[in-house]
Amino acid sequence: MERIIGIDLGTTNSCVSIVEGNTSVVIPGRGGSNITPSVVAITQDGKRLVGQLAKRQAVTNPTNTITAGKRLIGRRWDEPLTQELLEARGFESHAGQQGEVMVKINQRSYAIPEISSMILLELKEIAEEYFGGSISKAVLTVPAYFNDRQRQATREAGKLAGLEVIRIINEPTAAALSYGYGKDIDKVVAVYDLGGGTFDFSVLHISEGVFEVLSTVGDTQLGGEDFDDRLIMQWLVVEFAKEHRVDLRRDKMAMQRLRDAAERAKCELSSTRSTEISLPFIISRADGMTLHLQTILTRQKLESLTEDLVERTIEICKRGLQEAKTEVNEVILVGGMTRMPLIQERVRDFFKRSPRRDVHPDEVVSLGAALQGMSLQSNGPDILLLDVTPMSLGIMVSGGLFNTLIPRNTTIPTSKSHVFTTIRDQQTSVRILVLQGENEDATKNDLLGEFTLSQIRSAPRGEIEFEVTFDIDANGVVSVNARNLETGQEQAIVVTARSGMSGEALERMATENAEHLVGLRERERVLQLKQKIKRTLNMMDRIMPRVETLLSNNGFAEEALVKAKEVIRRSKATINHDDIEALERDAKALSRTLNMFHNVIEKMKRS
Amino acid sequence: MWFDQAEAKDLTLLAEYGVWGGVPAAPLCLPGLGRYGRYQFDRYVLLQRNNLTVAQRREVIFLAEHFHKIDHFEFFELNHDADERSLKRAFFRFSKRFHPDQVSAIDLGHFSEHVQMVFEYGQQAYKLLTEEREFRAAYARVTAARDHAYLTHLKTEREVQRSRVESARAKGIKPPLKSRIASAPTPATDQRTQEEITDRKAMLRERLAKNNQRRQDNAEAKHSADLKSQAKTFFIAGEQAERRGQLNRALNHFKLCVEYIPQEKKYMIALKRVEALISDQRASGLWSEVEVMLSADDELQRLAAIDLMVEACEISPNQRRLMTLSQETIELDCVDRALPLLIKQHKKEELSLEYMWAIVQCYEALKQIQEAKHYAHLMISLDPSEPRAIRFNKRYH
Repeated sequence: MERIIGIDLGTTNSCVSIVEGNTSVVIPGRGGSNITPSVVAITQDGKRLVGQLAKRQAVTNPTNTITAGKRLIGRRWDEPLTQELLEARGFESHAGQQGEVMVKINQRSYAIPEISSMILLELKEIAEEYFGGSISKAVLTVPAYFNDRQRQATREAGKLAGLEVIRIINEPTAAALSYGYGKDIDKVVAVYDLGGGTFDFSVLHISEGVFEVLSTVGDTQLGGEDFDDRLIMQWLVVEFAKEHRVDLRRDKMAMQRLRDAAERAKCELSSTRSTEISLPFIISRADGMTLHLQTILTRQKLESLTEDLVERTIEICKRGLQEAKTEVNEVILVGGMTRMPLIQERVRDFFKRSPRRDVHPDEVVSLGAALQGMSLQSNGPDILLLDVTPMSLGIMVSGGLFNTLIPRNTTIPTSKSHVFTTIRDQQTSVRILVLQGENEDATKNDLLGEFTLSQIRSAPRGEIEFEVTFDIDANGVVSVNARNLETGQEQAIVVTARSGMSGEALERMATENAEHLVGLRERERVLQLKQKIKRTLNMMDRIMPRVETLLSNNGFAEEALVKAKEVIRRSKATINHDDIEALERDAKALSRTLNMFHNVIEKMKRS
Repeated sequence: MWFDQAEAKDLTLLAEYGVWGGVPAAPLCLPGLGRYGRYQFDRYVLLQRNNLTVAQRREVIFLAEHFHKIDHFEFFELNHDADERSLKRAFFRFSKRFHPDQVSAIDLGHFSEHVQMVFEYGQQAYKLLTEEREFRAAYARVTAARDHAYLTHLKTEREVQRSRVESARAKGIKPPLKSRIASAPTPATDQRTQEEITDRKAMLRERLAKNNQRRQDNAEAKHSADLKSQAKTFFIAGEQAERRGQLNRALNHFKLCVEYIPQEKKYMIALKRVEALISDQRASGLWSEVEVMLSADDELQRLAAIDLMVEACEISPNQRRLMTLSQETIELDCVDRALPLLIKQHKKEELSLEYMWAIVQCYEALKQIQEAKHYAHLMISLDPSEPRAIRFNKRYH
């Protein structure tokens, strides 16, 4: 039987596992450590260094060392978030041909998947050495909240490393697999996964070897690195500047040393109450004097600096529990950051139970990945994973609205279709924009791909109908198909890593293509508008008393209030009829009024 | 009529869900008849080659055919009062059988499509039942009401039937066979009469024969499909051989094609073409010998050459050869050798003046002027200004 390895490709550390006998084991890397740092460097003489070796030389070679490449994978150069991330790094970067991020090491440009593939190759070699034969298949893990583009980019990295990626699974799910495998339990398990760069929270029901994911939430820009950043930017640099009037941020090498020291201090504070940070000869002043950084960091200080980050994770957990709609029986902590006492404490308080201590936070993910890989073989372990899509999928419809076809937390594989129509008379082509995200406003979501159905018979609007079908297979690969119901003409795409855009570019595209979008059928549109009006009316009812008291003695406001009441009365009347134009008008008027009231309340609060 | 006892508001609620809210008119699986009721499995489908167990095959076939004809509870083998937990358990059991991950490693054969379809349906049904509590409650109430109504109806029906049979028995009348079979879903063995048993045997035999027939048909269909593909490969090989100039090989291939699929015109045409090519080749081989002999300008040699010429013309006649042959025979006074060939060829190509003229000359040489005149006349009727025929006519008028 062919061997399949499970790889946890982490932001700071990676880990590889394989199934031996009935259980999975971690394969120790070079130097005997179970985990390999996700660091890639290329030395002056062109030698490629990965892992511990690369990490060790990072201090002396910051511009040619890439750390935390995972935070950039599948991102586009023009995203503001990318720019923010890149600013803090030592290495050079520029935009690639398709707008992806490219990094420059020793005058050569690499795409981010290439960097990741170097780490994967190293892990593959480790596994091959251990196993004594070649390995070609792997299961990779990604943060649950990765969008489709990031997943595809990860898959590409695997391909570049010469691995056939048979499945990409979510990290918290993999952790739960490893935890629940071989145990005869029937429980609801919450997985709190705070890694180097991402935070994920999943709730699963484990029973008789079936792992059903109930909900998945997360934040791809919240992790251990942010804790380090807080420590450096808000404390070490500030204190140093106060004392010596020197800005450490302008020296890349100094920053790299700071980063190292901060990370080490953070880890030490998990077991001690205070630690010393000592960095001799950190920088030389303009007058030639060399300065040293020496300070004591207490656990209390660290906690006060990062409290809000921990609080953010708890907020996300709340959302996850709400969506799971069930009681949690167990909590497991995954990721190196969960060793932090503050986090353990807050998790205990929040779930009102102690987290399990029998899972290894760094290794459990890759162990689960290996198990999943083997379970896909014909006589592998008897486990079945019912995973979900973390984000909603849909298309843009007229008015720049996002129409969800597959809501988030839908079990995959799944397929869903919906019928749309043309929005203009004599419309001869329609443009389908495939989006991923949660926002009602389509331009705030992520574009995964686009395609056009053309050569449509010119007809009055609403007469020609299109069936758009979304399909997610067991691998999580999204394919979209649109069919002209009149002629049977079809057009389809499979979402790939390179496609997609977001932000301004998407907005521009939305306005350019406004005329070629599809719309909902009239009946549905009426229902949608009615629902929207009802929702707004409810909200209005709730805030109306407050607004009235706030505006009670203001001549101008009273007039506005009368107008608003008129709008509300009118909308209550239109809601009983199916007049689409009146509905549209009133929906707009209502939301304008509601916005105005919100502004009024805000203003009053401030003053 | 089984929904009379269901509440109207439940029914309207279900109607909002379209196909998913539709409750089938009657339960398929009656109590005491097991999961599949009276469903007759198609043995041919059941025994197709794949790696599933027979139980799995039954489930797949049954669900693939019936998923839209049974209610969601029946689909998951549940009672309508099943709670969330047992629903979940049932879905997990279902996923273990049908999830693509579970079946990806085994060969499903013809069943893969069914499995996929069934899983997608089950998943959506499960999602609906777990997420829409109101829907589930309404669905459960409606199915329960339906089952109740249907089963009471069945019971009373059975009672009536039984009493009727009883009274008939008392009078010594046997009820008609049809009603007996219909009224007794599980007939007790001791109630079977000899007649019934023979009937049943006959039915089984008939079914067996039908199945055998079908299997045979299938085997035949497969055989013919095999032949077809076989013939196709032969044809392609034959064409290649022909292109390479290996005519004998091509001939063999095409012969096989025609043998396998005699009704295919393409093969026939190819075969004929190659046959013609081969005979032409042989004929031209012979002809080159003839030419050597003729060039010797020795009467004996020329006489011997006539034999070869006749043979060549028999294999592959063409105008040049036949003309040469007729000239030679006229000169050497053995026209009878050439004449039958000429006439044969003339019948093939009736409009060729050259053949007719050759025939005229031959008859002239034989002094059979009547015949010669007849052919000359033919020539003139085809072409009134034919100078040779006109000259011939003038000569013998």
